[in-house]
This record gives sequence, structure tokens and C-alpha cells, in this order.
Amino acid sequence: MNRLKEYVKKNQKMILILILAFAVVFPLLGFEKSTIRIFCRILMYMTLAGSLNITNGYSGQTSLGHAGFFCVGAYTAAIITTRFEVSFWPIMILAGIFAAVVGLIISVPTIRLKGIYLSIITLGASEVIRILALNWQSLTGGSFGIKGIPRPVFFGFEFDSPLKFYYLFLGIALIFLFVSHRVINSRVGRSWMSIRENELAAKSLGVECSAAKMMNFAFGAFWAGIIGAVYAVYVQYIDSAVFTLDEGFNIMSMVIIGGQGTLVGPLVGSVVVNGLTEVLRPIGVWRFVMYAALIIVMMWFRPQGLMGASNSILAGGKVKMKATGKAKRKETTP
Amino acid sequence: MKKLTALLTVLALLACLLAGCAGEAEPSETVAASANAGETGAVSTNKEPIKVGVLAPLTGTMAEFGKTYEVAMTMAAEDINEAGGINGRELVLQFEDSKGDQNQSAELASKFADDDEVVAILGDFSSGCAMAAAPICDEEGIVLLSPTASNPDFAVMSDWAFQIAGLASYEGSYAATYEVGKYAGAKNVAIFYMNTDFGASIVDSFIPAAEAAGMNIVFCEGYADTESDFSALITKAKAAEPDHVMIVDQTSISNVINQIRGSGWDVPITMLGPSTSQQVIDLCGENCEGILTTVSVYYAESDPAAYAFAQEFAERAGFGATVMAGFAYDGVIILAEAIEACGDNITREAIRDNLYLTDDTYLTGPIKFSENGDIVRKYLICEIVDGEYVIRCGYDYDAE
Amino acid sequence: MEYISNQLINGICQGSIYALMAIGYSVVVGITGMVTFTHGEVMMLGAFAAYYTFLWAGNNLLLGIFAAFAASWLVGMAVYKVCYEHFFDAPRHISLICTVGFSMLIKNLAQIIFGANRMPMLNIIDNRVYQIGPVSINLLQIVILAVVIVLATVLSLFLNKTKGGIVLRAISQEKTAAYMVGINVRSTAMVGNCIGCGIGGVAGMLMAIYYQTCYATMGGTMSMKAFSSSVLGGMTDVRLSAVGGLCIGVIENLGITFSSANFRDAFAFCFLILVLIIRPQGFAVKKGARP
Repeated sequence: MNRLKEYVKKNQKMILILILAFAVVFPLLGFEKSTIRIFCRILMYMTLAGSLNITNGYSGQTSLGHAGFFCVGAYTAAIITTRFEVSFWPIMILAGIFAAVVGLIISVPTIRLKGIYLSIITLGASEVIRILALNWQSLTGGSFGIKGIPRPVFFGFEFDSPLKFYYLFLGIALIFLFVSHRVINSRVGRSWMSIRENELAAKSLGVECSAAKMMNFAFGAFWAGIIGAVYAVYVQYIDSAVFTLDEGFNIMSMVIIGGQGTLVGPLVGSVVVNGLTEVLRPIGVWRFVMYAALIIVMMWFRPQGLMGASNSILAGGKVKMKATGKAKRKETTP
Repeated sequence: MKKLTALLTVLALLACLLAGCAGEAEPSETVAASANAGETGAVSTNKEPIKVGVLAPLTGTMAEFGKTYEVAMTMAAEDINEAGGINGRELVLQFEDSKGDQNQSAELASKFADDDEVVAILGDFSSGCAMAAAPICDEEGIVLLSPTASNPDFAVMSDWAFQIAGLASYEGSYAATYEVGKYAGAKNVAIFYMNTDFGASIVDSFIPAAEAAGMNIVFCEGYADTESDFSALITKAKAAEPDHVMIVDQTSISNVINQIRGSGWDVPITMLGPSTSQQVIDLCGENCEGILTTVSVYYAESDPAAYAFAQEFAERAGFGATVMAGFAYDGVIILAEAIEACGDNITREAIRDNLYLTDDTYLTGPIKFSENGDIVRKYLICEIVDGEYVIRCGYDYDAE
Repeated sequence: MEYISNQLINGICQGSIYALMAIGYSVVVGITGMVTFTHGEVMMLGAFAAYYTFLWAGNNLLLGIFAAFAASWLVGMAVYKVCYEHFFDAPRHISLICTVGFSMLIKNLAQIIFGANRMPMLNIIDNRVYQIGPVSINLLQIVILAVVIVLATVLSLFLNKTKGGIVLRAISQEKTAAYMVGINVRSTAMVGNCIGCGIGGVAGMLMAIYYQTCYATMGGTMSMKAFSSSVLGGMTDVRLSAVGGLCIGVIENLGITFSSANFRDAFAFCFLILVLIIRPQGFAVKKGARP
């Protein structure tokens, strides 16, 4: 195990390139379209869960309302592309910026709140966004949703098949990972992590906690907005029923199962959760029972997730607690 | 230690997976059961079975309707197979759970489209899910016949999309002109509607028709589909002093009725086809006496086939049949006839072309598609008297 | 005026249902110190237990209350064992996610076992409508309001004045210290959690009788309201949580009166967010209260 770890560390670049090459070639191996669609979903949720991980995993602010930012991005793209003849790409960026602004607004109360109070604000905001989308008939089409969203075109190359969208999702996931990697390893990223571990200590060391938290929210929301825009042009029909709290919990469970606080975690989480829903399909109605049981099992045995940051507060005090418990017992029973 | 727990977790995951796979699905079991029934009934042919995919919300908040789909469609498939199948070939329905989730619905439609054995797709239950699946079926060229979607925007999305529930837009204007206007003679109408695409499209067609018939809409408000408390809305509606209340809902209709009566308000109430079922009577008891409704199907004792269907459905499902059950049953029958008309050479195109030729009377009444792939239904007006639906006006009421 | 006062009464009645749920919720949170997302499902199970009791034993309200309380007590034990006991020293989000998972588990199991359709709960009690001046109010609304007031007073007396109550509060505030003065933390926390869940079960039953129906997914939106009310009241205080529930009910109904029912949840959440921005600790007096 240790040797494997060392090997991975030594040849990090090569392994990354190998994985990348695999991801590029993989869908060409003659899969059916529906299977490619599943890959698309996995890649989409990789970015989405990754962006939630920025807030939940890196700065430790438990946000439950990620579906709201996703919704803002999707509706922005859908509304603009169906009404005006504009290229999709600037709209995608605009959707991201718009979601980031919403994220910034929501993050204002987070300066004073933490823990569960923060969670309920994000949860409430996500619901308010969905209710607005459902009822603002003239803008969002109300309960009819928006249909016939045009496909994006890239220099005369139209994204009209799941395979082409696969590469689009892959590209976005890669850009996201690259940017996040750079941000996480910068001063800003480190300040986020210091807030997660101990906000008071971070403050005393001169970290601008409120600014860092706001930036953190905006950054996470930006990527959720981007992926929302791509989602809208991918499915071509959106309505508000997609962006419920359940969707928020779904994204969150990917982050949790995959592991918070590492870039790899949400990627693994997305593969596991989306893969599971497909693999468990034969058991029909029982699959959500199984899925729920799995979340609980996960929390019991590996609270930081499959690939989570085991050296952080997220791993929980459980390991430590057990160790001290054992030590105590040893002392009392010589 | 950490590694050990990680290993244990992975093992637990694997165990779950294995347990899951070993557990075998309920839906596929029912399919197998229907397949067996077919084998015994069919005039022993060794031809391969014909597969039709079904998208149904078997779990989630719409699971109630998924169950309706499952029971009614399985009954239809059994009936067909007992009668010798389709040209001697057995009809097999492959149920997949879309959970009422649009993404799932779209992906499953794509999965069916990729499976060369699946000749057509039935479903999904809600218009939203069906509309999410429609672009894919259009691209892939496979029939998507939704028995229950009523959104007028659905069938026009594609040549491959069909709906047999009757357009909500027509049902809305029928209810306004004939049920509330001509039959009940209302002057000032209050509307409660569930804010989904179903509710909104009914209201969009109801209001102009009602105004054309000389009625005033004094109150018209929507509510979220998860709503359970209507007291504020009822008080608000009362203040507008309507002489008739129209409720457009699917799931919480009994709540609205109970709360209107519970607040001591004795106003004539009208509801629509999708709400009409024995369940409303069970859930409302005496409160629903005298309520008017439009139905396109009526499971009366005078119609033995329909009555027998409703009886058997109730027995199997454990709850009474709504019009949805009849639509689901007819969806299978129509599709089977279209497949049968293809003869030996069953292609997806041929099924589509044959579906457009459908013109006959079925359990839920006559079905003939327009060029869009949707139909306009005829309606009866019923009233609830002593816990039973009683027909007040026949199918030709609008012609009189 | 008559119209507005009627709407206010509607708001109070609706609010008292939220308050009823929030009381159980805040007992759970106040004693275990953990946030729960299973409360809606606990209420649903309480309602179903009562439903089956009424089915088998006739419309006996006392028996129904007992069944609802007992059933949700048992569920409370399970929730405690699965979601809390293990995680007292872990970060809060872990047990929170555990409760999310557990609620999913119960919801889906219930849908498989009880079926997906709605069950009727008709005429359990003779629900008369009283006309007091310009406003009309029915018997069940009065009963629920009375139950809320009685529960809030009795529980806050119990938690603040009796020894058992102080023990319960002690473990919620500082487990190690409680352990040191000889309190059996684990079993006391479990009993506390079960009391909260039991109250939740009875609330679920009353709700089912009030709306005359029960179904597997009834917990979902309602538990969000219980959660919001409880947060508004500062999470741990029973009386303030009840006040929070009433406030949300009134705000929602006034919002519907002057705007539209489409925005019901939006009113509730906007009000909550506003209050939290101005007073991060909700209505609670003590600052920096947990969790």
C-alpha cells in the first residue's frame, strides 16, 4: 500500500496523463449512446459536486443549497439562448458570473452565521430560487419550463450528439480541476482551509475570514452556474422540477461519499453514486433503500468519504476518540 | 487502522452491490410473470417476444401513479398474450423506474432506443418527464406514446411523440363551457389550481372559454403541488363571493375538498378527469357529495368490459382505478395493434405510421390521432351521489 | 376586517401545526445537540401507526395517541443508535448527513411497505365548526392550539424545574462534565431523543387527522417547516420554537392573503433569512447557543 502511494507520488504527471488519455479514448470504444449519456452525467456531476466541495470541503461551510446555483445557471443560459441569437460560449460565462453574484448575495449572511444556521439559509435560498423559477411565468415559462433550447456551435462544429457533449463536459471538468487546483494551492485556498480547521485561529493569523468565505461561495457558485448552462443546452428542455432540494442533497451525497476536501473526492463520488444508481437498477424500488443505507454505512466507517482529506477536521474526531478510549481501557485494566 | 476501515468500506460496498443484484427486481418479476402467462396462452410459437419499454415513476413522490401504470399495463399485456399475443408473438413490457425525474426519464428513453429489441416506448407519466424524453426519441426515431401526458406542447415536439390522454387545453375549455357554464349555470367562478404544467394548461384554456360563455372569474390562484393547507386560499376565495368553485388538481384534491367543506362553506364544486377516482370518495367521504366532474372514461356496471377492468385493477393495485389506469391500459392495446399491423416486418417507422392510422373505440372511448399525434377526447359529466359517480350528461352533450 | 381576522386565525392554526412539529424537533435538538432531518419521517410513522390502530381498534383517540407515541419512540431509539450515539465527538455535519440518509431510508421503505397512495383518516373525531364573532374555527384547530400551549408549558417546566429535565439539559450542554457528575450520558440522551420523537409522532397523528389523510411522503415539506420554526426559535428552546412556528404560519398566510399561494415557502424562508441576518441566534436570548 505504501509502496503504491510512493509510486503514485513519484510518477504523478505520467499517471495524470494516462488517466486523461484514457478519458479521451474511452468513449470511442464503441459504447451505445445511452451509455455515453451516463458518462456525460457522471462528468457533469463531477464538476457540480466539485464546485460544492469548494464550499463544503475546503472552507467547511455546510451548504445545502447547491441546486439553487445550478438552477440560476441553467435558466440564465436557457432564457438568453432561446430569445436572442447569440453564441453559447459567452452566455455560459455569463451564466457562471450570474450564479456567482447570487452566491455572493447568499454568502453575505454567512459572515455572521455558521453551522446549521448557515445550512438553513443556503437551503432556504435554494428553495426561493426554485419557487421564483416556477412562478415567474413571463421570464422562465413558469411550470411549462423552457423547451427547444438550441445546441451550442463551436466554429461551425455543432454539439449534437452525446459523444460530443462528453468531450464538452470533459473539457469543462478539466478546466475546473485545473483552476481549482491552482486556487486551492494559492494563498486564498489555504485561507479557506484554515477557516475550516479553526476559524478563530485563522482570524488571529490575519486571514480575512469574511472576504475569504464570500469569495469561496462565489467561486463554487460560478462553476455550478457554468455547468448549469451546459446542462440546459444538453437536455434542451428544463423546468423547475429538476432543481429541488433533493437534487441539492443528491449533489451533496456525492461529495460526502467521494470525500470532502480533496479534488479527487467528488470525482470518485460522482462515479460511485451515478454508477450505483445504474448498477442497482435491477433491484427496482429497493435501490434507494440500498443507497440510503450506503450513505449511513459510509458515515460510520469512513466519515471523510472514500478519498476524503483524512488529515483534516472533516475526518471527524472518531478515530481520535476511539484511540483515547482504548488507551483509557488499557490503563484501567492492567 | 485507516486502511483497514477503508478496505472494510469497500467490502461493504461490494456486499451491498451483490446483495442488490441477488435481490432481483420486483418490476422484472412482474414482467416475467406476464411472460409466463403469455407462454401458456399463446398458440405455441417459437418466435421471439416483442419488447416494449415503459418509463414509469415507480418510486418518488409520484409512485402512486407509477403503480397505476405497472398494474394497468401488466393487465393489458396479459390480456394480449392470453389472446395469442401479437401475431403469435408474445408482448413483453420492460418497466424502468424514472422516479419522476426528467434526467432519468431522458436517459432511460435513450437506453431503450439503443436496445434494438425494444420496438417502442410507453410513458412517461408526467408531461415534464415525457417532454424531457421527447427530443431523444425524435433523434433516435422511436415511438414515445405517453398515455397520461396532457400538455398540449408535448406531441407537437416530435412526429414520434403521441399522447392519448386528451389535450388539457380542450378539457379546460370543455369544462368551462359545458360543465360549469351550461350544466351548472355558474356566473362567478373561483379557480384553485395546482401550479404544474397540467394545472396551468387547463387554466390557460379555461379562462378564455369561461369568459366567452359569459362567466366572471372572480378568483384564480395556483399553489405548489406539495401544498397541504388551503385555509388561507379558501378564506380568500370566499371573500370573492363565487357561486361555483373549480378545482384543478391531481394529488391533493381531497385536501382541498375536505378543507372547503370543513370550513363550513357549502359551494358547488367541480373537478376534472385526472382527479376522478374511487379514491377521492374514500378520502372525502360525505364531503364530496354533489361534486361535478368531467370524465372521458366511466367504469360503470352498464359497461361490462370497463367495469370488469376497474374491478380487477382495484383488486390488484389495492386502490380504485382512475382514468389514468384506463389510459395506461389503452396505451398498451393501441401500441400492440399498431405493432400487429406491421405484420412480420416490425420496424420503428412502421409502428409510428400505423399508430397514426389508429381509429377505433377502446376502453376509454374512441381514439384517432390528429396529425400532431395527440387526440381530443369526448367527456361525460358525472356527479357524486351517495358515494358513487352518476352520469348526468352523455358524450354528446356539447353537440346538443 | 373580518377577512383579515379570519386570515390571521388561519395563520395561527397553521402556525400551531408548525409549532407542534417544532416542539418535538427542538426537544430532539436541545437534548442530543444534533440537528436532525428525520423528524418528518418520524411524524409520518406516527401517523401511520395511528392509522392502523384506528383501522383495527376503531376510532379510539387515546389508543391512537399511544400507538403513535410508542411507534415513534421506537424509531427514535433507532435514529439515536444509528445517527447520534456514534458521533457525539465528531463534527456536526457527519450526524446531519446520517440523518439525511436515515430519512431517505425510512421514506423509501415506508413507500414500499405502506404503498404509495394516500390513506383516508376520516371522522376520527367529530369536527364541529364554531362561529365566534366574525371568525370561524373548528374543534380540531382548538385542540391543536391547546396541545401546543400545554406541551410548551409542561415541557419547559419539566426541562427547567425538575431534576430529570435539568439532567437532560446538562448532557446537551456539556457531555464530559455531565459524565463527571455521574450522569449516564448515553441512555439519558437516548431517552431525551425518544421523548422528542414521541412528541413528533403524536404531532404527525394530529396532522393526519387534521388533513384527514396520511401518506408516505407527507413528512418532506412539513419537516422543513419544523426545522425553520425551530431555527427561528433558537433551536433548543421549546417555547420559542413554538413561537417561531406560529410566526411562520402567520407570515405565510398573510403573504398568501396579499400575494399568492405559489410563494408560500418563499415567504417562510425569506422571513427566516431576514430574521437570521438581524439576529443570528433566532429569538433565543442567549448568544452563542449551540449547535
